[in-house]
Amino acid sequence: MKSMDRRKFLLGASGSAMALPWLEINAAGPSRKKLKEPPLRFASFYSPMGFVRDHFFPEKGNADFLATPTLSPLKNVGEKVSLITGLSTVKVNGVDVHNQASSCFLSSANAQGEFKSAYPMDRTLDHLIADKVSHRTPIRSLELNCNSFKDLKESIYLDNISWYGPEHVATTMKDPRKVYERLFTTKKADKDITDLILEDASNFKRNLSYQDKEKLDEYFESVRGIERQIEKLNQYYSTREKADVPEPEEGPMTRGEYIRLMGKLLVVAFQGDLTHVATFMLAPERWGSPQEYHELKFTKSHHGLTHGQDNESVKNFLVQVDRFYMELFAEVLEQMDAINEGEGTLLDHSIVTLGSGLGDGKDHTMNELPVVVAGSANGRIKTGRVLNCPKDTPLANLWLAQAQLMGTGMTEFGDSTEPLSGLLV
Amino acid sequence: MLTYSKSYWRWTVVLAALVFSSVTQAENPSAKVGDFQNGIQPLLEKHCYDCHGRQKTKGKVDLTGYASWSDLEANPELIEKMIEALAKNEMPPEDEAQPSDDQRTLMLSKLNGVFDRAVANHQSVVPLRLRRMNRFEYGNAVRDLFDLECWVYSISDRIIRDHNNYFRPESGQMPKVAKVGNRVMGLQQMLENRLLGVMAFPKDPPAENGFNNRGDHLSLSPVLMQSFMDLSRSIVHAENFDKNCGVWDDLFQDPLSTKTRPRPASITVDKSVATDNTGLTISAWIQPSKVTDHWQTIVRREDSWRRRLLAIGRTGDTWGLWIGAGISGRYEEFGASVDPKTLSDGNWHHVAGTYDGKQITLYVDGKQAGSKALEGKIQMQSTGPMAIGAHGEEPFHGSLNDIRLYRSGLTKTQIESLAAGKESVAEEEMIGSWKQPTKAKPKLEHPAEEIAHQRIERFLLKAFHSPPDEKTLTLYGGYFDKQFKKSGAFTQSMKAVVSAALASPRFMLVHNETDEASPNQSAFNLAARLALFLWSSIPDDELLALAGQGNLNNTDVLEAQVDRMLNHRRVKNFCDSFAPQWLKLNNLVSAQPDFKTHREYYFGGDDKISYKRGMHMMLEPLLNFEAVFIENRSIVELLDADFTYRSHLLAEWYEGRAATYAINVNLRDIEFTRTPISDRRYGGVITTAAVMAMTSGPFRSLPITRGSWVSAVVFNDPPEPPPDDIPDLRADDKTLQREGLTVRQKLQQHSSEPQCAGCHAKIDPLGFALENFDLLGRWRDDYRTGLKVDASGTLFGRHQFEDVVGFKDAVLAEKDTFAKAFIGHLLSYALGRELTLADRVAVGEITAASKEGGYRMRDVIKNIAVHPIFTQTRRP
Repeated sequence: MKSMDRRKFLLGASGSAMALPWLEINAAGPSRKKLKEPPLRFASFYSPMGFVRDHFFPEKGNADFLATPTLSPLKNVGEKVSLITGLSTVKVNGVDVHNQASSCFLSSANAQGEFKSAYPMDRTLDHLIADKVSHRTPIRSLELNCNSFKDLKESIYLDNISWYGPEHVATTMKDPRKVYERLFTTKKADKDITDLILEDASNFKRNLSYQDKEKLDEYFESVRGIERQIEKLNQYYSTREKADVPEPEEGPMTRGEYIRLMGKLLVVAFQGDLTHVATFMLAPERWGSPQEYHELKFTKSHHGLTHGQDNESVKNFLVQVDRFYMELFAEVLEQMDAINEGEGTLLDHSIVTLGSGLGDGKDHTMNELPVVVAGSANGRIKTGRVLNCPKDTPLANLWLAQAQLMGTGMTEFGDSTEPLSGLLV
Repeated sequence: MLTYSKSYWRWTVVLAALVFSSVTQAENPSAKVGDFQNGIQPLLEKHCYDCHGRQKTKGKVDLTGYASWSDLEANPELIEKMIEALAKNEMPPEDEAQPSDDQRTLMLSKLNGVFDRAVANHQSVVPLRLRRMNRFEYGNAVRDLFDLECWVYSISDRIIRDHNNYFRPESGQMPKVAKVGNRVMGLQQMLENRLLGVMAFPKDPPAENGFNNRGDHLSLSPVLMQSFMDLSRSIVHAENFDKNCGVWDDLFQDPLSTKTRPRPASITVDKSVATDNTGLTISAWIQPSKVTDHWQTIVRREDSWRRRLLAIGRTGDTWGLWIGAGISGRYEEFGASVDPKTLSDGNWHHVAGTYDGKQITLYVDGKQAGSKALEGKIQMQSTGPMAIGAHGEEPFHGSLNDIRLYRSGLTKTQIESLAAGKESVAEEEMIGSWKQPTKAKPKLEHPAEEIAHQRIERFLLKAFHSPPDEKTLTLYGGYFDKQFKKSGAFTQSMKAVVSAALASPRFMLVHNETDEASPNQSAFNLAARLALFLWSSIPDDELLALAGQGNLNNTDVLEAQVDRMLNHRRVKNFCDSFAPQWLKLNNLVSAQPDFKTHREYYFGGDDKISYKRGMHMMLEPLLNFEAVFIENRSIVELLDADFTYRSHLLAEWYEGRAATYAINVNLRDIEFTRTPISDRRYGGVITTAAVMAMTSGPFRSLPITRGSWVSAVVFNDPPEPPPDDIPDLRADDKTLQREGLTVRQKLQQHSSEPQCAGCHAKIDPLGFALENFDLLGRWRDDYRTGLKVDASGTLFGRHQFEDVVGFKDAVLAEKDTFAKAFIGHLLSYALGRELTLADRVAVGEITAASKEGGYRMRDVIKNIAVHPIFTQTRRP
C-alpha cells in the first residue's frame, strides 16, 4: 500500500501544524534534545480455533519462524515480528471450551477462582489500557469484528473478545460503513437531550436495588461516553482534515475485501490518533456455519475443518484458511510499517498481537497458544525472533507486559505470575 | 433434565462410562432408604461408590463423602444430578448391575424430598433484574406506543410475514390456508410498510440453549447507546411517521392548527355494488411536493395478482402516470408518459385511469395521456380496502384528495367532468371514495402548554409503563416549554419530548422487580412483565389501568387479562419470538447441502442465492406451533399431530416428487394448506424437513447433531460440552463404502471409547431414531451404499423402539418429561433469565397444574403467568 503521509492528517485547513500528541516540531528545535515519546498503539487480533500446529510453529530449535507455511506471509515485516511459544491459559472444566477461548482471551482471569459469570471473564486488557490512554484520543477504543455470518445463531461469548466486565460486552462493529461514520463524521452534541435523560436516569436510579443500579451505570457510562466522543471528535476535526479515505460502498464484498477494508480503517484510526486501542476479530470463535472464502474458491465451515484435520485433504483446506487470515494480518502490519512517524513507523510505535484462545482446534487445548506480536513499542520489545517461554507460561504474563508498556502501571493481571520475561530488549 | 444454571459451580467433564467392579448380589427389595445409613448408603455403596469416589472419581463426582441426608442436602446440584441419572436410567450404566425398580423408585422419591428441602434451605429464587429491551421488543414497543400502522423496521427476528391475515387467535381456529412469506430466507419480505430511514440496531444473540431476551446478555455500550439515540430521533422524524401515527391527534396534533397531518387513509369498497364490474376507473386529485424516479403510490390494494393501483414515477424509460389491474388472470401495468414538471408545479392536478374491457386509458387534467388496447375481463374485485398514498417504500410526496373508485371504465366525457371539478359523476358506478377531511379552526380553552403537559403525562404513563412522578413530569414538561418558547411549533416541540423519552432508561430498560418497590409499583412491573412475555412489547391502556387500580394481582383479574392477551393479535409476537428460538430454526439458514449432489434443494442456478427449499421448510413447524397455540391444543401435539401445514412444493418434497425449480416460483406469499396426517412418521415438529435438514451436514445426516437437538429442544437437556479430543469419525461416503459399514456401526466403534460412551449412550438413540430421514428430510429405507437403515433403540433405558414411529410413541410415553422440559424453556423465556435449581420447584408446580387438561398450550402459558415466580408475590 502507498505510504500515507502522516502530516496530511495533522495539518489543519490553514496548513499550519496543529497541536500534535507528541511534538514533531521538537525534532527541528534548536536544542535537538531527545524526542518526546510517540504515543503507543495497542491492537489485539483474534483468529478462532487455533492454527494447524505443524504449519504454524517451526520445529523445536529452529529460529527461522518466517519459513513456516502459515507464518511466511509475515516476512516483509519479519524483523518487526516475534513468535512467542509456550503461552497458555487454564481451561475451565465443564464449560464450553470455545466460549471460554474467545470471551476470556483478553482477560485470562484465574480459572481456579470464583467467576463472576459462567466463564473466568473480567474487564479485558484493551479496556484497562483505554482507561489510562484514551484521554489522548477522541475515540476511546475500537472493537472491530469481521463476522459476516447471516445466521446469528451462536452465543455472545463466541462473537466477542472485548468486555467492559463480566457479561458487559463492548459492542463490536461489523459494518465498515458504521466504522467509517464513527471515525469521520462529526455530530452536533444534543446537550439538551443528554442533560434531560441523564437527569431522568438519576431520578430513576434512586428507587433501584443495588444490582439494578449497577445495570443503570451501563446506561450512564454509555450516554456520557457518546457525549465525550462527540465533543472530542468535534475538537479534533476543528483543527484537522479528514483522512483521505473513501466512504465504503454498500454492496457485496468478498471475505478478503471485507477484512482488508476493516483493517484499513483500523490503520487509519491509529495513524490519525483517532484512537490508540483496538481489538479485531478476524472471525468469530466456533460458529458451525459454512463460510464462503471467495479468494480461496471454497465454502467450508472453519470449525468443521479444524475437527477433521487428521484427514489430509481436510487439513489442506484448513491451512489455506490459516494462511488467508495470516496474509490479511500481514497486510495490516505492512500498511502500518509504511507510515512514517518521527524516527520510525507507525508499526514501531505499536504493539499488535495476533493470537487465538485455542492452541489446537481439534484437541481444544489451551496451552501452546499460537501468538505473534508485531511492533516494538518504540524499540522496547525485542522483535524478529522466536521467544520460547517455559511450558504453561500464563498468557496473562504477555498481557501484563503489554499493559505495562502501554503505561498502565499495572502490576498484575488475571492469573499472571510476572510480566513476560524475555519479551523486552 | 432441565438446564439449570450451576451458577458459579460447574460440573466437570462429561459423565463418563462407569465400570463397576462389584459383583452382582441378590437384591433385598425390602431395603428401606428412609434412614441414610441403612437405606440409601448401602445402595450407593453397591452401585455407585466404586466409580464415584472409591476407585475412581468419574465425572469428578465423589459420593463417598456423604454420610447423612444433611450432608447431601448441602449440595443440591449433586442431588439433582443423581435424580436425573436415576430417572433416565443413565446410571448405573447399562452393562452394570441395576437396582430393582422398587429401589430406584424409592431412591428417587427420597432424593426428590431432600432436594426440595435443600433448595428451600440453600437456594433462593433469583430476582428479576433490570434489562434492556432487545431489538424485537424495542420495535414492537415503539409500534404499540404510537399505534403505528406500519412496522418500525423490517427485521429478520420475525420470520413469518402474514399475507392473508391468517393469524386470528381470538377465533380459536387456524384457517385452512395461510399465505405467508419467509423473511429470513426470502428478501421480498423486506418490501413491507415500515418507517423510512429508520435503522435497527444489531440483532441480539441467543443464549446457549436459550433465548435472546436474557437479562444478563442484554447490556448497553456507547456503540449501542448511539444506535438508541439515533433511533429515538429517526423514528419521530421519519418521513412517513406522521401519517402512520395512530395517536397523532392525542399527542402531536397542534391544538392551534386546523391543518391535520396527511392521514393514512384508505378507501373501503362498497360490497353491495362491487360485485358486478365490467371495468375499472381510478380517479384522483394530486399535488406532488416533489417528483423522483421512484414510484409514488396514489392508491393501491395489495392482493396478489388481483392488485390494482394508480401511481406516478419511472419504470424503464417512461416517467409518467401508471395504472395496474388484474385482467384475465394476469397482472397488467400500463404507464403513459407525463412531464414531471407539469405535475410538480405546485398546482392540483386531476389524474385518472380507466379500463373498459377493451382498452386501458390514462388521463391527466381531463386530457388523454395514453392508451393501450387490451381485450379482457377485469378480475373479480376483492373487497379489501385500498390504501391511499403509501405502499411500502413508495410513498406519495405531497397531497392527495377526492379519490374515487368505479366498477366500470368511465368515458372521456365523464373524466372531463371529473377534471372540471363536478361532484356527481357516474355515482351509480362508484364503489368507494375518499376525501381529505376538513376541520374548523379550534378554539383553545386552555393554553397550549397546559394541553401539552396533559398529553405528556398520558404519553409517559404508556412509554415508561408506570405513572410518571412529579419530578419526571416537571422534567419533560419543562423540556416542552423550553422548546415551545424557542420555536413556537407545537408538533416539533412535542416530537423533541417524545424523542427524549425514547432514549430514557425508563423506556429502554425493563423487567426489574426491586425489593424497594411499593405494591403500586409492583403492579405496574407485573403489567410490564406480562406484556413482555406475551406480546414482546409494552402494556396497553387496559393493563395500565388495572395496575393503577391495584387489581392486576387479583387472580381472577389476572387470569382474565392473560386470556385477553392470548386472544389479542399482538400475541403473534410471542409465536414469532419463542417458537423459532425454541426450535433453533436459525440453523436452517446456514444448512448447505452439497450443491452438486443435491441441486434439488436449490431453486436457482447456484448455492449462493437465498431461495432454497429451506425457505418453505422453515415455515412448516412454525405454522404447526401457531395452530397448536391458536387452537389451544396440547403441547404434546407439537411432537405428534394429525395435521400439518405444507406448501405445494413442500408436499411434493415429502413425496419425493420434487423437480428442480427455476427461480420464478412465487416467493412472496406462499400458500400453506392444512394437510391431514395419517402416516405417523410425520406430524409434529421433530420429523419435519426443517429439523432434519438443519441437523445434517453437506453430504449426510448427522445423527449426533440430531440427538443433541432432540435432547436440548424436546427434553431441555443439552448434552454437556464434548470432551476435548474428539477423534475424527471418518464417516464420509467413500470410507463407509470401503469399510461396508453404516454410519451407526462406524459411530458405535467410536462411541465405545470409554470417555465417549456415557454421553453417547444418552444422545445416540435420539439421533439414530431419525436416520430414516436423509439429510434433507426425505424418507429412505436404505443408505446410498445399499445398507439398511437401523433406527431402533431405547429411550431412557426403558422404552424400546424399532423405528421412528416407535420412537415417537416412546417420547409420548414420556410426555410428562417433555411437558416439564417445555415448561422449563417457556419459564426461562418468560422470566428473561436462565433457570437455577431453585426454579425446579416452580417448574414442577406449573407442570402439575397443567397436567389435568392434558397440557393445553394456553393452560401452560397461563399457569406460568399466574405462578408466584412470575407475579413475584411472596408465598403465604
